[in-house]
Amino acid sequence: MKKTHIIALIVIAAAIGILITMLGNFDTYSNFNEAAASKGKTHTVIGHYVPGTAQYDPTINANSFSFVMRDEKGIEKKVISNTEKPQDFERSEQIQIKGYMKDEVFIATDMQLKCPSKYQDQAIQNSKQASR
Amino acid sequence: MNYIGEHLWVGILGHTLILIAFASALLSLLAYSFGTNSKLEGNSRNWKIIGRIGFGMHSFSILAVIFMLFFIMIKRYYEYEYVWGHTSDDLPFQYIFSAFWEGQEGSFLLWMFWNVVLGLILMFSSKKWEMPVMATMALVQLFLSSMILGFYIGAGDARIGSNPFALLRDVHEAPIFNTPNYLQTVKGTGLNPLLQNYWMTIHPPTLFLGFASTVVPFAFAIAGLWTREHKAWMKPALAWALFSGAILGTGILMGGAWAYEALSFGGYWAWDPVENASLVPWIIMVAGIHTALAAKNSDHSIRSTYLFFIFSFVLIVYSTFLTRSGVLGETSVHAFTEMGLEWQLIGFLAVLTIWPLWMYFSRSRGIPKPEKEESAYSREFWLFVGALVLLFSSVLITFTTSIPVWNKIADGFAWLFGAGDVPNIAPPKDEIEHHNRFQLWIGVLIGLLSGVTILMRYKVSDISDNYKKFLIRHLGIALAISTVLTIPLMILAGIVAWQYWLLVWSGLFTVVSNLDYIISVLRGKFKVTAAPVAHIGFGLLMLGVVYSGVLKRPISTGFNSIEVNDLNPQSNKNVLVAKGDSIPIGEGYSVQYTRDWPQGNMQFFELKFTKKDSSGKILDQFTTTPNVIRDSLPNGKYKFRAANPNTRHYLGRDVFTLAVPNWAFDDPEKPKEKKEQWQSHKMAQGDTIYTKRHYVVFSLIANEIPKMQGYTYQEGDIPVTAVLEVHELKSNKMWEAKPLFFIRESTANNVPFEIKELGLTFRLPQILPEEKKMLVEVLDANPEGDYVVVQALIFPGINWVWLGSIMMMIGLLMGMWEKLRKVKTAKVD
Repeated sequence: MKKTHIIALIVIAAAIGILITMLGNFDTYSNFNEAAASKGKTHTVIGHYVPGTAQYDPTINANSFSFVMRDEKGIEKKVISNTEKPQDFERSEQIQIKGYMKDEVFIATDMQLKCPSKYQDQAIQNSKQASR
Repeated sequence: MNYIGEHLWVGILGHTLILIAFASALLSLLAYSFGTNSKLEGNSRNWKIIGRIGFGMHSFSILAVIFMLFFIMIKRYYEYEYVWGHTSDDLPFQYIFSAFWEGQEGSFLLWMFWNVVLGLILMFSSKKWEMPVMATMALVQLFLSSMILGFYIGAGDARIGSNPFALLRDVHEAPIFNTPNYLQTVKGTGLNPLLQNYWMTIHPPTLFLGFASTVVPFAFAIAGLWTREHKAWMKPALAWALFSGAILGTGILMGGAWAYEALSFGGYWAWDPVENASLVPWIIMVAGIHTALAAKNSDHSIRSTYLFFIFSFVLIVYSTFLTRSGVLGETSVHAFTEMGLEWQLIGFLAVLTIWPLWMYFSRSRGIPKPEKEESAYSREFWLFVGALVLLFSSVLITFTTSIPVWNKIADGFAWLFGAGDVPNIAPPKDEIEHHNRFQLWIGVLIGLLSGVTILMRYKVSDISDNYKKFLIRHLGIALAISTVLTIPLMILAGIVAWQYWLLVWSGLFTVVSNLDYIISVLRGKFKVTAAPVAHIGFGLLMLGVVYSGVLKRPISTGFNSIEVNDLNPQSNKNVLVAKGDSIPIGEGYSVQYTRDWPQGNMQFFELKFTKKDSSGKILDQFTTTPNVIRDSLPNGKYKFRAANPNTRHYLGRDVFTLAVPNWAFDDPEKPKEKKEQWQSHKMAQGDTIYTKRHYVVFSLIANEIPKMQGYTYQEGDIPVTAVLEVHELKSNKMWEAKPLFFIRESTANNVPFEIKELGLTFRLPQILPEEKKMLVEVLDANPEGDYVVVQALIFPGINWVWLGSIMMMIGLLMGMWEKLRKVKTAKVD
């Protein structure tokens, strides 16, 4: 066998090995119940913002933002993150948070918002609804 | 209905030109393909001429389409959806370009523009390669122009491509289109303020030239397979691959610089799927450059060169699919909005993968094989190993980036297993940490390989004493110097993790070894130093990555989270600074918010940073002016859109600052219920009261007839004016307020006095003669005061990142220059 073939085989073997360990490390999406069942372990939860629950008062603490999120199973939990309040938070369609449960609170270490397209014209949208 | 004021002719002409562009690309593809095939029999002149005419017509049509799209955008013809969706009346002219390629259709046109430019160059420069190369170019243009075709099938919504000249009233349904003069009320929605930035005018064109240029080595690879000339194609392909590597790399780098300089991401690289999608083709292109060098100088690695150049372009198409089909969804910050053309993109991807692979496998038997196996002491052997490491890196990145695709595929096959719901894989918890963990080792390996391989020689079968001595001496020197440099550098920086020691050491190793190569082997002949320059750049980049990544830290650590005190304090990076206040923050710094001012749709904030040592001596002082972009709403309030950082640059580090004002956190459309509260004070002359930020001295009572707005003297009035001195607590500044009380026809009246600058209003509702006092009332419009939430991060060694990456690009360009010169001198000979 040629040396290059041996090295290529080693590289392929290493790649497969790492990909398998990667797969083992990847998580599937969870919900609040699963997160509550294993407190302190990191989970990724997708859900929606419960309107009117966002709290951010930088005059008290600029690094504490909290809100209530309803996950896809309909369970509601308070979520706290130590960031500022993200832009357009109220208008987010969907929220993806990564973090863990601590007591009855979900501590989010990372948050991604799915926002509606910013270019939708309000006027046209509204008039569309009015015509119905 | 006859609508008033529409300019329909532009759209009809534009759409016709798109159809012509599509048809002529097809003509050119067919002619060049037949020509290539018939060339094998001899006569192909006529096919070549038809192919040229076809591509010429195509080029003209594409340029005309671009011109017309610009034309309607400059003229603001809002009857067109693209103009309406990407421009507005107040959009400055320089951002018309940004608006042009903000949308999917415009960015496809930008890509096609570069393909046209490259195609025309290839048509006149590639001589005997013209026909097969141009056939591939025409095929790619055929697919790209189909993306903007706007051809509807049947009566439904099924369509091929999205026409940039689509009319607003055809795309949207709304009652306003029932009026013939709807255009008078339609206003454009404008360009996303995040994109109103000079980076947006230069980053996309550069990146798309990089994207477009990857097709050239691909086309040459196809040409090589097609004509079965398995070696000759590599010469021109290599020069183009170096060009492509340099331009695509620069485009990616500009994206990083944009994220770092102008966006609030707080870094230059986040392993975002979209970033990865353009990085991976670049890595594969660089791998191809290395195997092509090996193949040119020996007979090894021809096959891998074919595959690398083919896959570099295929991955570009794959990245187009990822970013434009909407499959990335919530996993990326900057995926395009969906266009509903996923299947078209999948078809594009399938054809451009299957066709070259079929060519490769059906003809790979004819690819020349070297008689002997390469020796482990030869350069070609290690070039190939290096390319494999790069491939390895790409596989790992692509695997994670494609998680949403795996999920889609799993969902698609769910019915096979009878399972209704397949659990979806979540992207890694911390993407940066995830990729860094694996790519760190790639960095170490590439550092070592590039340092060793540069000293190796081509086509040595066995190690001679002389060569052995040379290798031991030079590798020994590089190992010794890099080790001696690494230890103090890492100790001084205070980095403990041994993995980072290893990465810095291997980076320094390649820097030293390649420098040594320039001095002792090339003897300083600058013109041929392309490879070592690029390698030194890579080494310096690794240094910068470690320093800026590991030592990046916030100095704005004013708060600890009360509720979540177990979180990493590193992410507590926001600090609240009231206007005028000076707040002590980390590392001896203090920050003061001195003033702010509006400029266009931006609000600027001036922050003064002062660094003092423990004895109070000022070590450093600087001012930054971060800003925010906001919309002015009809109710007089601002709607926050985006925060732009401002960075103070030093040679050894950067201080990145960001400020977000208080109103950004309120929802301007749902106004906060503000309690208007008048604070009442009974004051005698000489008394002092306090507001949040001021103290007020009642200095005297004036009885003269006042001249002020809201009051005209009438016979019989008894006016009383209180003169109040308003002092700012933190400065010596003083204002005067003169609220008025008057009795007219035996009823008490008052005229309040407002100091707009301070947001304070004073009034005198009552006089209390028996106490010899007056009732003074104060209204503080903004009891919390103006404040900004400030972030300040230190990035040490960031300049190594820029220097290193720029050197890599210069190295690639020098390589291209070298190859072009060789091609020229070869012709003279």
